[in-house]
Amino acid sequence: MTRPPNAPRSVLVVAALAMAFLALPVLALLQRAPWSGLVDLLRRREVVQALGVSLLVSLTAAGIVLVLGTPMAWVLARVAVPFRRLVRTLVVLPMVLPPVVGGTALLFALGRRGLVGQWLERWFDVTLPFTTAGAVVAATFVALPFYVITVEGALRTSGEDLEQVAATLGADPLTVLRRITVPRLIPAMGAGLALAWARALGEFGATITFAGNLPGRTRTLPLATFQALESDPEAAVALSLVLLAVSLAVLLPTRHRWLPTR
Amino acid sequence: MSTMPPSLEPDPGLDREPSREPVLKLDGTATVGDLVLRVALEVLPGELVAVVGPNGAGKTTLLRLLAGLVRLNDGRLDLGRRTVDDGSDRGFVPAHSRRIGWVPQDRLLFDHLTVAANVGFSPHSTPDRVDSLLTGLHLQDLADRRPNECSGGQAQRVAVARALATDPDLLLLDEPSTALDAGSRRRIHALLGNRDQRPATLLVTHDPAEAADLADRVLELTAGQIAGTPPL
Amino acid sequence: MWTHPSSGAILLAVVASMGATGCTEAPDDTALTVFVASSLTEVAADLTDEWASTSGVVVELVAGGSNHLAAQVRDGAPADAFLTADADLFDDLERRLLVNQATDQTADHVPTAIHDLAINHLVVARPTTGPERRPADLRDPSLVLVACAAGVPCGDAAAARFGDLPVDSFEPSARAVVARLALDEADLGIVYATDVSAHAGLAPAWPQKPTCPCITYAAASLSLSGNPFVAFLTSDRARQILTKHGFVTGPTR
Repeated sequence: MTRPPNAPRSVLVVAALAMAFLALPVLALLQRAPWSGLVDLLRRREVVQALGVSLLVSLTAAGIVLVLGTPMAWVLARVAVPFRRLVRTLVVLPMVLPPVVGGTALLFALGRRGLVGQWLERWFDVTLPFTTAGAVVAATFVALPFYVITVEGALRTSGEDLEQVAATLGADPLTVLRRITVPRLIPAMGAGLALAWARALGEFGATITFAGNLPGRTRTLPLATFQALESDPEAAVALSLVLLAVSLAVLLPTRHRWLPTR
Repeated sequence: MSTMPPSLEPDPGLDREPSREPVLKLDGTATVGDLVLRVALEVLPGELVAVVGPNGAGKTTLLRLLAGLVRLNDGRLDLGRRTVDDGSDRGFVPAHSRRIGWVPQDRLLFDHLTVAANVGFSPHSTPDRVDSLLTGLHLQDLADRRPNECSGGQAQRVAVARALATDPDLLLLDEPSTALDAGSRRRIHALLGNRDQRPATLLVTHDPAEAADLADRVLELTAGQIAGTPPL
Repeated sequence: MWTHPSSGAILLAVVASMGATGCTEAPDDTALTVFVASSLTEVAADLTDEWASTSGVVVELVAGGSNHLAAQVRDGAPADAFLTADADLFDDLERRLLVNQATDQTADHVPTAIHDLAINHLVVARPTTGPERRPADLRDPSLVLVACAAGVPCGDAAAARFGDLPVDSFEPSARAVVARLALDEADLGIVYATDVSAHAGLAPAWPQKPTCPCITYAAASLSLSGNPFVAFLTSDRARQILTKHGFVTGPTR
């Protein structure tokens, strides 16, 4: 490998160490994998079930994030909302909050006796805890900020110049959004969505606290892995590998969208 | 109502044909950051007015005011036959409802659209108009290319074509010839020089020769105020 | 391989009478780290307070799911003693300790182990604010029922006692089940008798007698310093405290 002419050796060394730090746990996981019995392990009902729940929950959450997050990002970037800084802090809050705290807060808000949840139950006979929908809510809650931050950042960086030109050419605000803003935003939306989806897939604390843990309904791959770790470590490794494989399967092909290359 | 010193006001005694009502009538004040723009100005149909002045004088701000991207603090701006800005919220007509064509200094072409799509972007444009503009500016071969595949001169022509395609009452050009090759410059000048076919035009330029060549009038803008020759 | 949390120079005065045999090295420190199953959190606090006032040794308590803590101990967490509700886990851990002791020349610690420290019964509980229930309600799918997960002691005991139930969520510990009931997010939950008596927000779903299959707690010391504390757990004073919290203590050794 040829060293770039301006790369100081110390920087390269530290970068290599950092890469090793990130790669090591994954390598250890692969090393511990029961490769011989893996296929049987993967075919086990609990693994397939957990995978199904995880995919359903994470993809649904990603969809909701897209629908809710895009307008939110646009407003934050383009509209002079009162207390904008406060609003932006609120948006980032789920990122900073420990997931279990987030799940507990969701319980207080949307649980059976929650602030809003009690009305959901009383008027619509809708309960969220212990349901797959509840798992989706928890996943959406933790994933939404990742999307909003990414898209809002892109909107603010790209500026309003092109949108202004489009307006002077006669395009009304909705047309500007449709023909100029959104098409140029697609890469950032893709990046944000990939991040949000990955976060939703890996969500544990908020899910187990708010939605609970039931196979086939709320037991996602992370929950199943946590449980298996204590009683059946081999299954835990298999589940971890599934999580790893699913993540790579989605993130690798789309990397040109979210990886800041070029 | 006008706050300009009398010697710089448009001469009220000028003989005006009844059909030659000014396309643009501006008399007002706008503040952007530290700059206070205080201008009274009229432009007749087909007239090309050059605006010259030092950097920071407010030339671009003036164009943005006319385009509807900057608002008046007080005063009045008439475009076509209607008042589009009187300093109030209710009286403000937004950019997309004005019939103006704005060619900004940075051109700001839409990279994700083809040249043809750029030129035809406006809902006011027609395919015929787009075609004739593409032909007139020698852009037919580039019609399906992207702006980033065009040279500086070509891109400038695309930007001008795009603005003209809207069939505007008023054309606003912000330094269109800067850093252009001679050939492109000639083509644009040819288009702008055609008095019968051009809309009322405001041309911001650094080049006194260009101003002298094309303009019916030259306005000098310094620190937000006009200090120039009265209309001919 | 067993790391001592700190190396102080102060000796414990009461070691000899407490039955720590075969230990030639004097235990160190004034501080212990004790891992306890989460259902023992409150009683362990009282026990360690008592021990602190008796021996002057301060105990740091780490409470959690038994399996979770056992995994940490296996991975070398610096615990001096371990109190768990999982008998199998305990046996496994004990075996490892003895095996390690046999192979590791430098370790000369013989674990003190107590296999039936105390007993806890399972109770089907409801939120105090909820209505009284009947045994048939346990199988009612329209009610929200939470229980401990399989692999967790209270979960295994519940499965042994009740078989298959329409559970809505398998929580990682009894405490989590208690939390659900306390917040009135569940109608029924399978918890420990000690949880019900300790928590005002919980009540028995219907009148129940202490029944087994139930939970037996075991304790082991993991280092020399832990021995005195574990031995203390069989003392009369300790048994008093356990009983006060609702645990049933085994026959006197």
